[in-house]
Amino acid sequence: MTPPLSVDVAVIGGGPAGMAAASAATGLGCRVGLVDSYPLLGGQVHRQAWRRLGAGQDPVAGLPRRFRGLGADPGVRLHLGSSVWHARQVTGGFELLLTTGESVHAGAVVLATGAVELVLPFPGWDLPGAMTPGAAQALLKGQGRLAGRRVVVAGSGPFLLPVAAGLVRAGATVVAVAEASRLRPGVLGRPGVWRGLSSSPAKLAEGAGYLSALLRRRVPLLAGWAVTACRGRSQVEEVRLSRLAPDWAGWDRERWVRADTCCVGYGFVPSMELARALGCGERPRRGLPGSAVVVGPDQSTSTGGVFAAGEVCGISGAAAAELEGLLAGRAAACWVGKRGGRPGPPTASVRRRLARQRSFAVALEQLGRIGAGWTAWLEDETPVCRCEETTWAKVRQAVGAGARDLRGVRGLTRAGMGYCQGRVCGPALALAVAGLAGRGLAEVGDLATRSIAWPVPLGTIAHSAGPG
Amino acid sequence: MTGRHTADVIVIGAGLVGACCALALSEAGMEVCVVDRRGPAGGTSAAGEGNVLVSDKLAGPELALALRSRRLWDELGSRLPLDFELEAKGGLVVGRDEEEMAAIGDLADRQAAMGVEVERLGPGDLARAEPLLAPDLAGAAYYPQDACLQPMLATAGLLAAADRAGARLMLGIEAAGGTARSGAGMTISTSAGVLGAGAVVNAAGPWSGEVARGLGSTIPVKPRRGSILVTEPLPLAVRHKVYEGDYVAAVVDDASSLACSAVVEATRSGTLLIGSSRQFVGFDATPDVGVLGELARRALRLFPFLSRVRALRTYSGFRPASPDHLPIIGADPAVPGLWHATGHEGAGVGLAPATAELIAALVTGTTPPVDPGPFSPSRFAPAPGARCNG
Repeated sequence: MTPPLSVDVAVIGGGPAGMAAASAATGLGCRVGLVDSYPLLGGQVHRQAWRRLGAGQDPVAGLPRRFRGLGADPGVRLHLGSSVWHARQVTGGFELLLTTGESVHAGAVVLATGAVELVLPFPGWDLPGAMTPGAAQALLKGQGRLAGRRVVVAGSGPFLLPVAAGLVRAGATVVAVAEASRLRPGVLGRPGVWRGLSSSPAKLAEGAGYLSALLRRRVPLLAGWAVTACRGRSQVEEVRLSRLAPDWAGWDRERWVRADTCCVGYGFVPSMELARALGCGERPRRGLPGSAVVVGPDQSTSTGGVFAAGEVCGISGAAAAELEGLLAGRAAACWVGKRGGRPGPPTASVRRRLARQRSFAVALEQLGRIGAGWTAWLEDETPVCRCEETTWAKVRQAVGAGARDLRGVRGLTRAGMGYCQGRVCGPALALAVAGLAGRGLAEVGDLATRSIAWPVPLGTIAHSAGPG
Repeated sequence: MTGRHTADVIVIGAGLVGACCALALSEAGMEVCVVDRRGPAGGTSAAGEGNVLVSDKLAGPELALALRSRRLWDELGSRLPLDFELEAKGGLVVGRDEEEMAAIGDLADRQAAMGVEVERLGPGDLARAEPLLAPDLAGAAYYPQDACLQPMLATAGLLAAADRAGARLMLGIEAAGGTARSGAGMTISTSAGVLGAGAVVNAAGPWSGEVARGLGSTIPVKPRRGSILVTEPLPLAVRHKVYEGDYVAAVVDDASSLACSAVVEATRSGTLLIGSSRQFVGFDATPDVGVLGELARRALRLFPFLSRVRALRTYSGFRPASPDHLPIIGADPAVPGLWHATGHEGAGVGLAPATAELIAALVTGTTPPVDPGPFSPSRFAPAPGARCNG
């Protein structure tokens, strides 16, 4: 077996949280290993264009100035284009097993694994041209390519706006932006909502900027509307927009619009595989599928030496992720005994800014809940798991046959057994099965596995997974 | 706590053994109620490979039960209106050298004497049967009767058939304990109230020891953990169930530490399943990546091409292990009205129909087609008088 590389702090994830954690830890004198599956740093938010195959491209050149130092920092070793398929506690710290066959030993770990998009299936969502907003944004940022010429952006949550604005600026025609939630006057009166929204004027201004970009190009902005189907011969040609009933269990108006692409996403679900492998305590998310890592004020998890930052602790946005990363990097450095001169802003002020960002995120979450009746737009033949082509009718039959949780449904229908292992369909399936079985989201469970966080060649497992 | 009369028989456990018992008892004319704290196949049944094997049984009573069960699976497959993917893919037990081949041949001779179909393959035949195997293997024994099925589909289908035959399914309901009724039968307390029946069948797999305790008895069933690696789907690359010649030794190895032996097979969807590991670690489900490494290393020795094939996930579960590696089927020696159908370790899927046939015959007082003596729970009871010596 290859001798493992040894670092003080291993950071998993090269987005805002991971980069901030790595910067903070190396600033305190730690040797840091930073792992990300993309060949360049930045994560989804700061995704850089990938121009060359093979080595040679500067992994930090396209990043905001404050992160560029990571590229030349002798204290930081970058493991890019590589995924951690398993993480475990070993004597003296932690061992990360990488899909490249390398392993990294670390005294402390910062989990900055981010989140995946929540997709609610609809008839036609398996056609080419139907994708998530994140996929369209990754195409644009990573490869400079437009997802399509005539695009419908739909779903729920604040992420729809920058995606639509980005597409418009790059020259696409955005046919409509449809937000499924409807802003009703009563919502602003809910505890924390008004205060949360008003706590971050910068964020409101950012949103206003996207809105004005869209309005200047006369993009229709619809509230209370959703994509409930799309159709086409070999790819998306038409998209059905429906004005939803209050709990989404049907609609009173619909119209088919011509489009070659529809980008539909309903927010994000934390990527919990490695947090689970390391035994970190987690909390359910109110009314939403999936769970999030529980962290203390210094971003420590219930597993000593493991810290978490960013969306894996709950969806709070890039600014909060960066602040959490800073705190996690400092705490991880402290854990391994590095507490020298502390560069950067004082911790108390970081926490104050973080609290504002989080209350903004909580307020947004209150605005956009998923209507319990969304399954009304599924047809018997709609695939709910694209890898295994499991239809909605089969899922209903499985629950009818006595399956009471996601694992039971998976066993009877193969939903979630394909290449993505339920990363795409699992959260929607959880919502659907909870509805069918009349149980809570926590009771139906999820499909996240704990041993293999990412597909890995058997040769790599044979080579690097020694006795614990 | 007299308990109303719920059914003639309460089956505790809606895994494959419980489902087969429910169907067999219903078809024998009994009024049956199935209780399980989870859904169908919520435990061990869903955690294995769906093995219906004769090749891995030593020549003895378990092999007789396996041969009977193999026939019953064919019958169930043809008479039930459902597809549980029963496939007689055949088993290949491969040996690396002449010494292993001698042991494999010796076992095959004794199995053949009991009616098992088995054929020796030299290196050339082996390469034709399974072209992607490592070229340096010495040979194999080929068992055409070895089959597999999709245990979750089978369990759900058998429960549905039992339901049609009049059985009642109480899923999501936990059986907490119970007592023998005066006269005959038992009373069971559950999370859905008190149930009463003339007989109770304990088909709770690795949890059957706890169930027995709750009902005032003891049986020596221990959980034995196993883990399986699942690969990405491949075009038909492995045709049979292929396993190392030391598999049978691993089954009967009682080490509490790890016993491993490579078992590789394809499922109908194209994914490969790679086992097998055996550990006595209680019900500890903590991921153990060292076990995965050992499984992968062993599988690569059989199929070098697997090195580049990606594993997508793992699953693990607990086998109900009995101390002498024989199932525990029959009347409880201490508690009248209590019957056990458990202790199959990793063979429960294959042995389920014959186990159910035995239970139905014993409960209804008819003559079973296979001698139930070797499986009797009373073999673990203390010898008469032994209790007084302590």
